[in-house]
Amino acid sequence: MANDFLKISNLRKVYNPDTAGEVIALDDLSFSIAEGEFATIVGSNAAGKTTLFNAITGSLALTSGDIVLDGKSILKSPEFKRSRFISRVRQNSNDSVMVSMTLAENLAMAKLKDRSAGLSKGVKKEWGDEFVALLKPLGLGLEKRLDDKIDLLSGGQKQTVALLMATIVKPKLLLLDEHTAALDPKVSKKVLEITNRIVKDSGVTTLMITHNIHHAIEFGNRLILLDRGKVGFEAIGEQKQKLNVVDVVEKLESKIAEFEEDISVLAVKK
Amino acid sequence: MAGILFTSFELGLLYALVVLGVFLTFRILNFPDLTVDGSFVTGAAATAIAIQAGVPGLVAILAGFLAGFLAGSLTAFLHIRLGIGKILAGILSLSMLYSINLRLMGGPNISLLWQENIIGWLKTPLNDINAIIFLFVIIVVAKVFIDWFLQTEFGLRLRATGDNESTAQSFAINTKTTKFFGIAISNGLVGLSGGLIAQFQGFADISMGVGVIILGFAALMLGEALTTSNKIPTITTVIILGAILFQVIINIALRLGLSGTDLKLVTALIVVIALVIGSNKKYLAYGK
Repeated sequence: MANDFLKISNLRKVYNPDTAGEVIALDDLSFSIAEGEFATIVGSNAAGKTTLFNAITGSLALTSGDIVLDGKSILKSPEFKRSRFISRVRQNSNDSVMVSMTLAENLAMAKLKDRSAGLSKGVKKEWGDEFVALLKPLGLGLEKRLDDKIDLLSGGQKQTVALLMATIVKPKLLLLDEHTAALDPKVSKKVLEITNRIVKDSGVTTLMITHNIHHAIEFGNRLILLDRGKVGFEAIGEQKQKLNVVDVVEKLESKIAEFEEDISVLAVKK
Repeated sequence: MAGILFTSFELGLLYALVVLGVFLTFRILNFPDLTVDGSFVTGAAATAIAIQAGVPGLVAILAGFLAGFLAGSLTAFLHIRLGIGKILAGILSLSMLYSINLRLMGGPNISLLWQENIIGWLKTPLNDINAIIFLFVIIVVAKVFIDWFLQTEFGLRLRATGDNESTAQSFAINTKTTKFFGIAISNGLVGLSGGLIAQFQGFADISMGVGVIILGFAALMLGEALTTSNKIPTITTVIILGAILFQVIINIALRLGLSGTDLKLVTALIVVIALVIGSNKKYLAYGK
């Protein structure tokens, strides 16, 4: 098992370069994770979390740096090609599923991910049983709603479906972008439990962005704290298990304090 | 009254292909494609030229489809490859097609009177019950084709593209390809309609496309008002009915003393009313 299944090296993303509004979103960011790892990513606003995900999926062009997944640099392939092996679940459930299509059509779309589209029937008959088998254990009654427009489902149900869609064809990398942040705490917990089970069962390499430090500590075997486009702090395995919320919050706060110091220095310079 | 119904039915069927085309772009792809006014004429011109060259009528209407398909490809190219906005790409392509259509036709119109046409034993202009039956068969084939197409693997991807392009990309969909074929096929149907109309009225004319897109919107919205279902086979059926209903309304407006030149105004007002009712539907429901 390679220790650098996903290798992020020296990622740099500068918005509005060489202008007064220059923002360095990723500042030589580097880290690696091994195959099958489940890493949680925390950081304050503008730490570069979403920028990192956008760079991995290909919806954003980097200023410099490289991303290697499973031994191959992925930067040259366009987003739609990368998504054959990289899945993402977004915060807004309406961005994670196709709202105008039925549940069965959505799942079929996910099944079709790793093949080129032909003119045979999109929702294959033989998938019916598979979809039911997939939905029934969730206990949400979704197996009876395969022909319903997915827009009729609740936010939590949609996010659960989005998780299934992201993993129905096992990807090399699963990206969870605050996928429970818009849900109420109870539903959020349930969706996280389902997430944890799916990730464990499939052994898919996973990165999860979260604002909830409890979740960041509870789930996964690695915690990465991003700070102004760099890794500010990292904890793995046992070291991570020993962390408590206060530790992480302190790390966050000390980083923020440093940042404020920088700003006051700048102000003095003026 | 029987006369009104007969004419409305015939014209409604002729324009139904436009409505199916508009449905593909406007509803499925979420792409308000203004190319229609131009590709309609391109289809008519190509069909007329083919008939003049002695091509059998059935093949000639395929030329109409192909010409419309190419006209749609032009818009798709401007939008997808060159990154020009949806509306502007349509307007630019429309303007180019005006010149192209005049070149194709070699003048502002082509007469097809007394030429051989789609049903070999009839002479243009067609106003015969056989022609209506023929037309009906074409529309049913087009409807069944679209119903089938939108359920295929490619069709699912096309619908996903219109639903949410960025999410579609995260399901490995090359949205450039899906958009291209969606826009091109839509305009192919429009060109097919243009070609049929040229044969039925006995000429192709440079101004025959003016306002066709608005007609398409009006018929689409009238049809959609007939159902609450969102199943595609139901929608394609009701929008064909919408095309016929639209012609009935227009015919009645004419009988009430409006002049033919007022019809564009009436058509646009139907669209405005449909849009206003559509956007207020939920508020109207709350009021009850």
